[in-house]
Amino acid sequence: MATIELEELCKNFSDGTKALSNLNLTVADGEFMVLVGPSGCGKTTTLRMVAGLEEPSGGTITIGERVVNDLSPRDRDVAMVFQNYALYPHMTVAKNIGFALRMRKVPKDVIDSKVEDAARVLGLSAVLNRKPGQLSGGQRQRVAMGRAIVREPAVFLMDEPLSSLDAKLRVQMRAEVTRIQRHLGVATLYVTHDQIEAMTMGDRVAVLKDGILHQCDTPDMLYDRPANLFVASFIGSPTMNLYEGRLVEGDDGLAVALGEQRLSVGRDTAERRQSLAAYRDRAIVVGIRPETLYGVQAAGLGPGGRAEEGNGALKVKVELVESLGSEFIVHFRIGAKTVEVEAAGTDPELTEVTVGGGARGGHGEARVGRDHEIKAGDEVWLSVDTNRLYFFDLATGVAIA
Amino acid sequence: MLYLLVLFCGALVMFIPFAWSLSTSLKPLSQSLAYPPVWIPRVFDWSNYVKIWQIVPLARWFLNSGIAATGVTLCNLVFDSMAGYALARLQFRGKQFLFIGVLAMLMVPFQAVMLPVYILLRYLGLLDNYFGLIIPLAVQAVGVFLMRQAFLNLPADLESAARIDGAGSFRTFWQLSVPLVAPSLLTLGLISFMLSWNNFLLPLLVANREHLWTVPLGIVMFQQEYFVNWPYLMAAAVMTTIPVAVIFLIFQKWFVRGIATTGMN
Amino acid sequence: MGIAMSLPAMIVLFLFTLGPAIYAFFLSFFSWSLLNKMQYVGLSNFGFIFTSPLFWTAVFNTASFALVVVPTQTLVALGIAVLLNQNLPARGFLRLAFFFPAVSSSAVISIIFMWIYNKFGLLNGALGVLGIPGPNWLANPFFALKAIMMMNIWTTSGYFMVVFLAGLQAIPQEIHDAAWVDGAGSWYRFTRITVPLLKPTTFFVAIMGVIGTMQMFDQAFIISGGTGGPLNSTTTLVLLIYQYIFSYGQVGYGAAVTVILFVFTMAVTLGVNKWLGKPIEY
Ligand SMILES: Nc1ncnc2c1ncn2[C@@H]1O[C@H](COP(=O)(O)OP(=O)(O)OP(=O)(O)O)[C@@H](O)[C@H]1O
Ligand SMILES: [Mg+2]
Repeated sequence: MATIELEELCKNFSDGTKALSNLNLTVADGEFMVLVGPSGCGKTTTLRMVAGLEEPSGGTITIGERVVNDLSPRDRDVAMVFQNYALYPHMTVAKNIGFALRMRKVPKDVIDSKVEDAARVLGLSAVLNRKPGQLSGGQRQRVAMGRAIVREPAVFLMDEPLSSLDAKLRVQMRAEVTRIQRHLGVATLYVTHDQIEAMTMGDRVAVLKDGILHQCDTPDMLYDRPANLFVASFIGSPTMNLYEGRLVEGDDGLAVALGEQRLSVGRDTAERRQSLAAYRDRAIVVGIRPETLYGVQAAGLGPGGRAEEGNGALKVKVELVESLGSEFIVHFRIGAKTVEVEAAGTDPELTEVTVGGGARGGHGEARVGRDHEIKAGDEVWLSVDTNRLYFFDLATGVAIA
Repeated sequence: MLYLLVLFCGALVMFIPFAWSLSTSLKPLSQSLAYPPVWIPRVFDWSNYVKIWQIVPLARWFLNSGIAATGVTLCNLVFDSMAGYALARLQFRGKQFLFIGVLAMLMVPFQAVMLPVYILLRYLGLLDNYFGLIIPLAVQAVGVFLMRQAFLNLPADLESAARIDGAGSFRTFWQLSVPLVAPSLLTLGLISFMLSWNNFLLPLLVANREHLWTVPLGIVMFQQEYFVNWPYLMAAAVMTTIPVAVIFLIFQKWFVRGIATTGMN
Repeated sequence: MGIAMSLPAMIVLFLFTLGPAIYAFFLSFFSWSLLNKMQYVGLSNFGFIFTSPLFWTAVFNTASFALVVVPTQTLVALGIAVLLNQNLPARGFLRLAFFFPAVSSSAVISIIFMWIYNKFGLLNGALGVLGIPGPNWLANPFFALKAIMMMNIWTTSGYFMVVFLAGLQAIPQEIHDAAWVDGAGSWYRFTRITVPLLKPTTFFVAIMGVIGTMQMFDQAFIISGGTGGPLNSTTTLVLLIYQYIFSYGQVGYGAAVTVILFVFTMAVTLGVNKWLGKPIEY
């Protein structure tokens, strides 16, 4: 049992690729830390450095009390689950699981009993004598897990272990991996590019992009208080609607002007975000999660646009309605400028922002209940929970606290 | 580091014989026999390279080698790819049988059947002419196999599309599929060229008269006559190796690919 | 259409591969000198061959050649390939250096080595520096075949190294990484992971080596001037076949040896398919 501490960890490949810049991250003992980010952001590189398979260009890696920078992978007491499992194709399942123990010269009867225990936990007892080539994808994944847990290592490293499974199995294994990790209580660094996996599995989630850590927090905090535009747009599905708006003084407190429309800011929000006041009469980015656009009212019917406390509405034109069975995803267009989050530069404070038109100009999505009658072409009012609006600095992309 | 040292020593061992032949070829006869051996000649004596062309018909031998190797290469490119295509893409009776036949012949080396082949060549009147140097190597089972693999790896939809657009099967083969397997053709060409260029046994059987000798055969015959004049021999050896080395350096990637695809199928 | 396209290739292949093999069976029952009339002699050619000391010498030479060369070149090729597969500088150059002899002409290489093996040649010069008096390699019946073995290993190792490299590259890097994280040092990774996973490649290399060495001709012919000397110490089976036609005018004897060699080669080939039947899946 141990903690993992990464301090100022850097990696520059010999071809000049900056895969990771100054990463600081601590995984507490027993914690399930998820590393999430888009493809190529340096997740695998980080994991391989912790395992010792890749040499850091700078910074220190501490596992438990030991600085392990100069230790070979075999001396670090880490277990790793690889993306493609990397099972030994010429060994049976039992031999695969017991390999690490054999390398550590553990007595044979001890190995056998540990392998059997691990196989029982993972439901592999029936296939112990098969070779990996004769297993299903899910079984292979379990063997890879078995190989890691049988060692009782100081830390677990897992590189997208579920990504080659089909959707249903993935959901099932998600719960299983979490259960096993809780059961063993070993500090775990888990890599994924799937934000749903990150949110459901992690005690904390570290959001990485272009080798830079943007935010490391609990799933709830990431969702409620994203540090910047990138995190805000990365977490949540469908992604957060982002528009350029203007903060103005409304009838009762602050309001945002979105194109022609106005949306008053909930009083709670205004009180919690003290610095918001400083942005008065300035352009900002307003974020509205699709799930906070909850209700629909036909445009002709009422004075939907009038703001009540904590409740506003936006007039939009419906372009497409997708049914998810339990609810609708409404694609709409609104008279405001969409903000697109582009690949960020190297400065963590600065998420590059493009404001503007194009085909997606004014596009947005809402998630509404199925009881609403709605179809493409309608003009409707969407109710907005104005206490759950997000605000970002237009220039820097940083959340306005 | 240790690995690198071992490898460089190994590479040196690979290199020494060639370096030594180059060194000897630049010495006059008297100096070449010095014992213990001298690596760098005191003066570079290029005259061996000039004289050898006069002593033996080296130019003629190069020409013969060139003609034979070109013939073998062209034949293999045409026949192997046609057969490979038929086996990969066309449906016809006896196809499976033919393919098994090719597999069976894949590992029968030429040397093993040298005697009956010689008698056959004699019977067909192919001794002492260029056809005798070309026809026995005109088709390689390995080549048919390689081309079959190459055609199999092309997406089948591509050809179906061409067929739907109205191209006949030979046209599809020639205008669509062949250009797409160009890398494999290059590999096949190289294998065939080298096979013929380096061949010793076939010319030994076929070419009795000196004016039909190829370079390897000529040099060996020359050696058996002038076996004491090592500088001449080494000059000839160097000149024979240079074209091979140049081709090898240019196309090394395809050589390696050829081995990787034909070696491990 | 299919028949037409494959016909030229099939005719040539049959004419110069399987056809001759069948023809050799036929010839092995006749006594013939190429010039006189063929005469049916039943199995007596085989009878002669099996009681001929020269044949057994050739079998012995060929077999010992194969037994020394095949394991050595396989090990050398594997070793170099594994070293070259590391992330080293100058990899490309080194690979070229090892591979080049394999694409050079056997005739040229034989001649270069004759000069190196000369009594006053480079090899003895080098041994002299170490204070070892070198033999006259090619004139000494004890050393001549060994000299050819060394030369052959030098020539073919590079070729098989490339085959091994291809095999090594098919093993995903992640498997090595996994073994390393699992606590295997470089020796265990080599013996427990690399070697077992290379098993199909190794079989292939060994079989190709056996087939290749069984057919050894060029080097023996060139170095002995076609005689198989000194004292028949370099007479191989194929060289013997050559001599039966061109020196002794005994086509029947040569055909009998051809049949034996062919049957043996086919047996080895069929063995390959059996062994290589199941490739490793990753
Ligand atoms: N050996 C290498 N040499 C050079 N660049 C590399 C090397 N390995 C990775 N990179 C680069 O480093 C960056 C980070 O790669 P990494 O594999 O860590 O991404 P990742 O976050 O794991 O992505 P994915 O989700 O696609 O697996 C990428 O730009 C990649 O191209
Ligand atoms: Mg990755």
